[in-house]
Amino acid sequence: MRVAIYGKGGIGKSTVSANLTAALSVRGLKVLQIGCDPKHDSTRLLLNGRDPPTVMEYIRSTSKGERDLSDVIVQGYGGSLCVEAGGPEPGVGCAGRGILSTFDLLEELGVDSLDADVTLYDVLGDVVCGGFAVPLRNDYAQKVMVVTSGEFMSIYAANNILRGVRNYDPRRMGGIIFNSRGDDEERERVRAFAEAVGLPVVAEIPRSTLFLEAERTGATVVELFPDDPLSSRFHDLANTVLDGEVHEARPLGDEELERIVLGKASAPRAEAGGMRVENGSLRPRTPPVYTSRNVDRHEVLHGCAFTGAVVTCMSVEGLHTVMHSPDSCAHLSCQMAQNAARRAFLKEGVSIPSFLEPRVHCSSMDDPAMVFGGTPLLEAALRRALAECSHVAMVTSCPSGIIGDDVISLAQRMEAEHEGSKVITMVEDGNVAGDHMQGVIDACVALADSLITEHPPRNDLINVVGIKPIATNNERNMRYLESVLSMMGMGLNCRFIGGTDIDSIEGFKKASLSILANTDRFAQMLASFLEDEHGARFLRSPLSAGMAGTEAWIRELALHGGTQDADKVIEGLRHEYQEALGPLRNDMEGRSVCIISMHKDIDWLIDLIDDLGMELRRAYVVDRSDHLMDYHVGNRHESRLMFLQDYVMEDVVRSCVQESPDILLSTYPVDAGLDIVQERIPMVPDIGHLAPLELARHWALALRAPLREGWRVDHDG
Amino acid sequence: MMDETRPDGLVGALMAFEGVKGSITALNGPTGCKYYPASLSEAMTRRGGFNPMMHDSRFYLGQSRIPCTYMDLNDYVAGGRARMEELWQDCQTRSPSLLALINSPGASLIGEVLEFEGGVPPTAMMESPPPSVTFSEGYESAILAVLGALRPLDASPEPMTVNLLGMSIADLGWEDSLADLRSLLEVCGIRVLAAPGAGCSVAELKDSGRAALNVMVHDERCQRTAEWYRINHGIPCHRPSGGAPLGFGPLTEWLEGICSLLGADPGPGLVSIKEARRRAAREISRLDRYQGLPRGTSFSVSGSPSLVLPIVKTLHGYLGMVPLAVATSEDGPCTEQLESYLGDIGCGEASTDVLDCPADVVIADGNTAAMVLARGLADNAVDIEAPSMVQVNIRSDPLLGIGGTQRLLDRCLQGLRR
Repeated sequence: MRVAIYGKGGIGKSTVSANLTAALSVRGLKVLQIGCDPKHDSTRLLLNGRDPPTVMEYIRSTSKGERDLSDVIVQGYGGSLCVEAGGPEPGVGCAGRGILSTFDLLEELGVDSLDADVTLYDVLGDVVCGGFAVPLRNDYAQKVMVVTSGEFMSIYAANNILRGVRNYDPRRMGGIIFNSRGDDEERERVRAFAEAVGLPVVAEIPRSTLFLEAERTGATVVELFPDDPLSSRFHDLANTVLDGEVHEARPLGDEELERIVLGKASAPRAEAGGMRVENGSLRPRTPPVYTSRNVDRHEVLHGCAFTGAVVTCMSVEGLHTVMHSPDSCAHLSCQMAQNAARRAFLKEGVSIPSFLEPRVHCSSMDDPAMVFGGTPLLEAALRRALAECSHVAMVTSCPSGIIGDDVISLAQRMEAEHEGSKVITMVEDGNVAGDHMQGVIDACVALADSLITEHPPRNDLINVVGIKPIATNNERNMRYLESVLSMMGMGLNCRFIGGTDIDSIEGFKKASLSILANTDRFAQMLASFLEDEHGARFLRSPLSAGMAGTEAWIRELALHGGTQDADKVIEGLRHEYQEALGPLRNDMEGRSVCIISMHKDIDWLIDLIDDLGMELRRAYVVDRSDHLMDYHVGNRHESRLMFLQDYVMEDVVRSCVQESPDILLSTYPVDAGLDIVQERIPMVPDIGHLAPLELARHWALALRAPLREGWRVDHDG
Repeated sequence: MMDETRPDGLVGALMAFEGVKGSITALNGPTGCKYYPASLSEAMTRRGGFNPMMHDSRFYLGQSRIPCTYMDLNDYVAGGRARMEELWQDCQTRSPSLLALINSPGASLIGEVLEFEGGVPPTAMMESPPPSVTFSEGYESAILAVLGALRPLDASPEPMTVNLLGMSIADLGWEDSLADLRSLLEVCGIRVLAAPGAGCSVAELKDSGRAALNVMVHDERCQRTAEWYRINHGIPCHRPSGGAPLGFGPLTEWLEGICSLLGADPGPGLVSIKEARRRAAREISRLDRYQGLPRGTSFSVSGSPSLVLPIVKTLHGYLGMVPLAVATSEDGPCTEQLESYLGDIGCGEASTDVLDCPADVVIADGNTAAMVLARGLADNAVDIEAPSMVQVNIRSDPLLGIGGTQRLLDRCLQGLRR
């Protein structure tokens, strides 16, 4: 028999539990009592007032291979077996997680082998998170008793416990144990509540000084006053626990509860909102200003802000990144960055030092950290980082946020202790702040706010903003940009942020102008932020693939600061473009094409198709929440594009197939059969006047290949 | 490899679940915990990668593996049970051979329950995957959850059969390694019933209870599994002292040990090994005669102890190369032997940082190897752990067995120069 005794903190459930265990034990039953309350005093009265070791302390202090069940079980009155889960100090860590870990450990160490006749869980009931609900799970308590007094908050907690039981197997309620506080009217309130929820009051424990007397000697009433009528109440309760019926949990609604227990109509609800809890105190809520699409539209979050922020920080040379997380978060984030770096190195021979030599530290939050709080581990990681570097970014994961580690105070203390250091704190709390892109935006904002300093602006320098840190063509694109800038008598100042260093971010304001790396929301958000907060000025035209886009930003740049004649530069580029285009046009002219793009900015692609003399039969631009663009980009070729918000991909593909194009261009391969050549639209297109022609060159070659290559015969799917 | 970047227990558990053929691993957690492991699973089982135009369904989010409940702040506060139940139902409609349910660290922290009433496929669960534990620990916990859910047959042992323990789809060339070891054992009359975690079907796993012997391949990953089989099915276990079967010496020892315990004749297998040794010796002899190689060249190695031990033994004892840096990603039964071997050969003071140690060859996971090359610390790299340095493997490319030994020797010797 497994029984859970739930009740509001301080209501006397430990006293009831210990006396019940004593009553069961004296009749020769083997009783295991497990205290599930961080204050670990459930079994004290069975142990002559002694505190048993807690399971959580044991987990913290004893390595896995050395653990033994006998170390956490103490024998108490009447041969009862006593276990205390324990937990963190108030205000830190996660006590619920402590309960989870305790149950896991007891199971792992073979608690079932004890063959207890009765297992009694004494559980704090006004904490309603999942951890404290573990004893309610179907594997554990077969019967649930609720201890309550007649005070409203106690009955309120009892009602919440019924709600918890209803979420599992609801037919397990053993009844209500009324622990009287001596208030005249409380019996009626408990009776009314019990009647309303359809449960019997299985015991009434009167207020008595005998409890105090027994407690002073560290014993139960059952032990110290075995013949007193008060002890009989517990013996009767023991009978009910063993033999009583079970009932269904049928909790009341809040209004109904107030009406029945307090006998009053419910008060109108206070207007909520405008505040949020931060570090334990309410602060005015500031809606996020620079948001990703997923966050802005409350969509499914793709990836997590933690990884976005970590990857962005990792891309800054000279910055160490501390991840306050379990190892898994660190691994997933570092893999994302390092895989990109490996591909860039092995395929393109480009070395990205910040990713290939990552300067990262992880607090490696483990089970004890989840229970007792993770700041000691974080402090150790921060100290490791600060020993090597004066600039440290610190990013928090979901577990840190869920257990509420006070990372901000710690970061401030670390800064104060390490003269000249800077700890840039990003409280992303995993995906609590948002998706991957939100993390990238947040990191860019935090790094800019922490690092950018005043400098006299120069007209011959330009920043590029909105670089995607893990795109493998960054280096190639930047080389192109620098080559064009040098033709204009200008130089590249800061790459914000990707393949850059701390000095470069600090010197952001050395350039009087900035240009966007592309047109997506991420870049737009950064532009808004840098304009709003740091007075940055941007060219209207972003960097782009293709001749027209390249020409646009070069002309604009010339107006703002370029020292060379734009016409001359453009003429040179256009000549190169035409030279390269000629032979390709011979191959591609008259060929038909359909497009299914997730990119909304595909003017450069349509330009290319036109320049090659190809026939565009259909061009769909499909919206997706896991893609970066969420706005209308003002395409020059808008009338030739079909924008689809809600669609079935199979229908879109079928529509293209019906057009029988020579080539189908899509962001990802689609199931279009084998009669059409499929080519990819790159996720992050190369910039520059010649970049699209590289794609066209591949199209031309693909058209010369057989439609059905031999290997397809052997492919089983 | 840096501690911060090595695969941990969550990845180990997910890969163990994904290593059951026809299974679905459903993750109750945010997408941030899903994307990379799903992508790793796709890559290691040679499926297509991220494609939101093809894999458009609600829980899969552009990938073909590891559907998830995309938990967010609201779910952390209010619980994510309802969506998990929808995902569970979605999985039921796909008729998996096994359903594996696992909580992310955040979901575990808020005490999400993964139990559901009914359901057709056998279900393995991990509600509280321990955070910040090694790949092996997570992997093995998941393997035990799978075995607990499937309950292998409790039948009398079939002579001349073995299970290979500790293999994973996260291992480079796992399929080819398994085929290599399987064929080596087969020529000796020994049949492999199952290799839990390495693409085994549910039927094979159920059959694994009949094996006459369990054989450890990566011993840091299967101590508890071996014990589980011993207690529940009375199957004894063989732990070869030389680590994984890689390198002619360790492989020979591995085979002879198994054959001796089963009463099989190792002769035919040893003939295959001898042929491979002869061929290798011919090649090495050319290098030796013309360039005096590989004797005296150096290497650095990083990986799990059961891989590093036979690699160090082979490269040192067989090729005459000298280890300058030796790093293991976790502790295991082979760790002590490795330390003792290094001490015996006068390399006890070898560096433990392959990222800061020049050597002729670096042997590590693909990312670490690429870092070493990019830093100019080595001219040549051999990847032994994921991610791979190559995308395509048309030819069989085992990491273990005769083929794995040939691969190691080929790749180490290929770039040597004096």
